Amino acid sequence: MPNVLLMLAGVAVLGMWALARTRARRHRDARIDLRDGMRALARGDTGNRIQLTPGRGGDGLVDEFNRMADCVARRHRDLDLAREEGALLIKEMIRSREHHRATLEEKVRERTADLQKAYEGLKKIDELKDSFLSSVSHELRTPLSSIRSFSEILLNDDGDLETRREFLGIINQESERLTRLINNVLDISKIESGEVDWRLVPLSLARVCSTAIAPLRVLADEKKQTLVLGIADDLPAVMADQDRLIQVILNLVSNAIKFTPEGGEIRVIAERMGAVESGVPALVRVAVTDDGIGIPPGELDNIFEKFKQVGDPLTGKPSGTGLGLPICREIIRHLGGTLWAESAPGKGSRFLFTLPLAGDPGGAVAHTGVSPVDQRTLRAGPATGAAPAAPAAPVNAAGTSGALVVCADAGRRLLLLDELRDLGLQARGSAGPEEAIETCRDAPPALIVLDIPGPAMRRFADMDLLRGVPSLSQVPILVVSDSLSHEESMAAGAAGHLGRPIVPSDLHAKVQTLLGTRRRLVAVADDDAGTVGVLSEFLALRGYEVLTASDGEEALRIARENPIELLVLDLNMPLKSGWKVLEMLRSEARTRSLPVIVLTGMDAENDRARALALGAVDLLEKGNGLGRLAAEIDLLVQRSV
Amino acid sequence: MTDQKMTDQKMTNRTILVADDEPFILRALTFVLNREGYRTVSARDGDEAVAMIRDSRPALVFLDVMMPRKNGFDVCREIKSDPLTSDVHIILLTAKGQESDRALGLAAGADEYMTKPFSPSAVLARVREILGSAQAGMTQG
Repeated sequence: MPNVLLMLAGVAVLGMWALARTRARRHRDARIDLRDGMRALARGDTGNRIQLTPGRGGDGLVDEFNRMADCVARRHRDLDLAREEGALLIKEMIRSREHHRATLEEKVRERTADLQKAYEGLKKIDELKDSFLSSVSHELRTPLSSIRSFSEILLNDDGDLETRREFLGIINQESERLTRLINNVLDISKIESGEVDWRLVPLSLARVCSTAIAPLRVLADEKKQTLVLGIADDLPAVMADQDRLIQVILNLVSNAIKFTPEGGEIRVIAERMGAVESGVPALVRVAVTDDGIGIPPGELDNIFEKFKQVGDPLTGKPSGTGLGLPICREIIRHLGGTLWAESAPGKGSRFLFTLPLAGDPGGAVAHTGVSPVDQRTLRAGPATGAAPAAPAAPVNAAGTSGALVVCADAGRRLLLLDELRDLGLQARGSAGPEEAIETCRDAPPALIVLDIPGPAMRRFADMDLLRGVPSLSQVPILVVSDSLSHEESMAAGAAGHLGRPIVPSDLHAKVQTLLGTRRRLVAVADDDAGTVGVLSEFLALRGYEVLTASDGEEALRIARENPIELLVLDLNMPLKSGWKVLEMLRSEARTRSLPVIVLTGMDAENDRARALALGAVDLLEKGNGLGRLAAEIDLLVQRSV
Repeated sequence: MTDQKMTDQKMTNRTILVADDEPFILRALTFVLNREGYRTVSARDGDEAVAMIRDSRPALVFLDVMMPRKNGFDVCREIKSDPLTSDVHIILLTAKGQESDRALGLAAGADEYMTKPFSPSAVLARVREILGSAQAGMTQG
């Protein structure tokens, strides 16, 4: 028994040992697995997992290990991701910094270049300013030299009267030159620095040109030059500043007069250029053409440069300020146009400029076909509300109508047509008698205006040709000529004669007389005989029949009893003041809408509001000189009658 | 007589050339010079001035700078570089009043530089200094 027990115990011990050994082996295996796993993990191999083999033991540890390995693998992945992100971020940062630096450098380069350019621009402006200043200084010193020299000579010298007079004349002339120069310098500085207030309004070129040219006619007459204004009647209004535009035309035309010898011709022609369909923006081109000495090709580029004037052809002496044309070019540039010159030495020069139309920029202006008269009526605004309508085209007994202009020169023909249409006449033009006869085959005109240019080679041959056509034999012919005398024209059978240059008011009066059109009746009321005299003469010249009154009562009576179309009324008159007259006229049905222009000698601004409130068309100041007054009345008469 | 270079020949030569394209300046200068007894000739541009200096051999030249064809500086250089004419006394009389212009003028060989506007009496005083009075010259000659 004890043996059995012993054996049993031995077996048991053996068994336990074997068991223990097996377990130990299993543990060892598990340890090896774990060790390998850890080593792999340590190497960074996070993909290894320990297989749970039944009987290999260490279950719990293996599970724990595997969980840990999972965890490490996850962290690893996160870290990798973060590292990649970080690397990307850093790369991006480096790239962006490099880009930034590159752009910064680029920007610095650009800015440096800009600054350099700006600096060079400023330097150029500075140089230009310096050269302008030194030119101005030179130009100022020159006339000042004459003034100083001759005044000193005169102070120290008691020479003969003629010499003294000559020197005083020079001093006077050079003072004027100095004044002109200073004005021009100020003017161009103002324009260039943008200080000029441009008043852009729609303008009729026909009117602006006539205004600009009017004071130059005397100069042209002195040199026996023909000054022609040719502006088509369907020319649309331009957008410009009136005073500045007049300045340009005045300058160009006076230059033309200066550089054209005696007997030459100067033409101012305005035409519309470009068309809607051609895609070229529509504009108006004005050309001032002369047949004078012209400009040498080398000088043509210089004439618009400041102080680069061409000398006077006779004396060789620069006679202007050297700023006229540069100022003109600046003005036209500011008005949105271009000014340039063309010339052939010995044949003449042509100065051209363009101006934008007053209509829409596309050029589809609805003005085409509207004559200046109509435009004037349209523009006159409220003042015409009370005015009678423009008279219909006169029709004479023979049922003929309108006027026919026979003139070989297109520019002069345009001018004549323009003037006739201003009178409300239908006017046609033809270049010669043959064409005229053809034109009139069906409808003979009421009047023929025949231009006989000088020297009159064929003299009255054209007139004889026209006279020879039966339907035209009775039509009165008005001869326009500078080579024929009034007597010669009348003796040859003309019904009237006009010399050149044509004075529009004379032409109007002659035409109205020849057509027998009713003369328009107007009245002038003033107790000052001088004013009445000048104004009635002026209005009569314009073709009006003038009634006069020297006191308020008489003015009122005339206005009540005569079909007058306009009353020029002085405010300060005996028996009844102008105020009273105006008030009474307005209260009576017959005279309520009679256009009245009020004249005042004093406190014009105060009177103006009151006069306009009482229904006057306008108020004019007498203090400004009668010539100006007459001119203003002329404008108002055109507008309101 | 301050000018030591002045020769006897120069003392007797009293011709003065006035070159200017401004007719009034010519008139003023020739008037005062003639009144003082000097003989004057005049030129209206640079080329004419050079030709006149060669032809008339003036003792003194009043020379404008801004002239047509050839400016006063160039005339000056041409005259001063030619041994035949280099002894002519040249006064640039110009409206170019800047200091740099004066330097240019003197560099071109001008003996003096006067600016416009000028005083005729100052001009005459200078002429007397250079040429002696015309009356004195005539009694000597």
